[in-house]
Amino acid sequence: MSGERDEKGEEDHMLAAEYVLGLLAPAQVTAVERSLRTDAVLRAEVADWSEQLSGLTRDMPEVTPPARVWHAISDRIFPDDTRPFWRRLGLPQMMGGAAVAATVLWVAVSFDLLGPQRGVQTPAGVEIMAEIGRIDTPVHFRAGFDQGAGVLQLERLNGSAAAGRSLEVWLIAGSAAPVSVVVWPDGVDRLDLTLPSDLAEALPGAVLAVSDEPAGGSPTGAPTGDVLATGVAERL
Amino acid sequence: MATMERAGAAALEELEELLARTAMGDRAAFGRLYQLTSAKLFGICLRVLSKEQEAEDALQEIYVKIWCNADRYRVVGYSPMTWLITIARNHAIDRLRKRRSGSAPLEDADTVPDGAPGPEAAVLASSERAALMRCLGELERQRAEAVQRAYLLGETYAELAARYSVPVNTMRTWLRRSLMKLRECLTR
Repeated sequence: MSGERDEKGEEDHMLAAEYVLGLLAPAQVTAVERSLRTDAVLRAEVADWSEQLSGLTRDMPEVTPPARVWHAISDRIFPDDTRPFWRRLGLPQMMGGAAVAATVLWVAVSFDLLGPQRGVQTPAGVEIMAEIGRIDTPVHFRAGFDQGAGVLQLERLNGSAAAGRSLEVWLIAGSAAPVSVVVWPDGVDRLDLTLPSDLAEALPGAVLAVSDEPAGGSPTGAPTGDVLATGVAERL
Repeated sequence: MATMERAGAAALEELEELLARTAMGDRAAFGRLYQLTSAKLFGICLRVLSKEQEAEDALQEIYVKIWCNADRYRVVGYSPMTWLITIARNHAIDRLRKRRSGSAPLEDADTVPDGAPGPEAAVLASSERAALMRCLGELERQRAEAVQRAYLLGETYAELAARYSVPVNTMRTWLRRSLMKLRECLTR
């Protein structure tokens, strides 16, 4: 994680290319992503290599996917006729006309999305995982669910509640209202929770979100503060 | 093929606009984006994963990611198609790597194109792709192939080293040199 930051010039070009190709070790990926936040030259290098190497897909024949794929996508993101979950959580105001403000927050985040492997270590028994947030969101959690045991392992990788506030974890399954999973206890980085069976069943494909709430958690049972991070629970 | 035409220079602004509207939760814009780009991305999924069902599952995840992350598009400085292709390629590679780390055998013998441009290349030629293929063509065949294997199949240094029967460090030096040459050629 340390060595790469010293490398400069030509070395940076190669690192950017290796990053885009997904050839770096997880620690190197982390280091590159950290540099990307501040290093505009490296950022341009990564964009340039992505642009060039994406040319390798240009000869691939286009194939119209079957209609069921679109149906599955719309079922997941536009469940029934309800609004997307972040609208219900109040995010659109932030993204609305002034997407610019939000942009700043997401600069480095984008590279996380576009980056290659994160080298996530998967504990045995875990079949569903969610990356809640990214390296650069205000908070970053990871969730792993062992279906056999019905245990949701939550890990806080980064970020904490503001003074006098609490972090609360929510599960949003399709069009259902967000359900509180846990109010995150101060000073704890890992929690194992046994999920009630209805939540366990709803988990695959659901969104997990972390919001900023008054101390002790939302007084209303629904998220009231800013959504700090989200992630989709995906089957491994 | 039609999509790439539409996704070419003429449609660049439309794709930008559709991504911007998708970022604000505009479903119609997202539907149109899917219409314009899904055949390209599905083609990539099929090529990388070579299994229809898995390619469909992958495509589904990819568009959910695009919907959830469209607000991040503007800040990375990619062209819209590159951004979409990168998400699709990375997701498909993730799946392929997971599959490989299980016990399933590699069945990719003929999924990597030659370093030299194939017959369709002439038809579909865009100047950038042509440049990339020309530059790959300047590399030794095995070295060009290694770059393609890394990008299109997500092969790691260790896997490439085993494939070409060289030590991992040699493989790394090899590939880095190839990338350097590629870069020189592309900026010429």
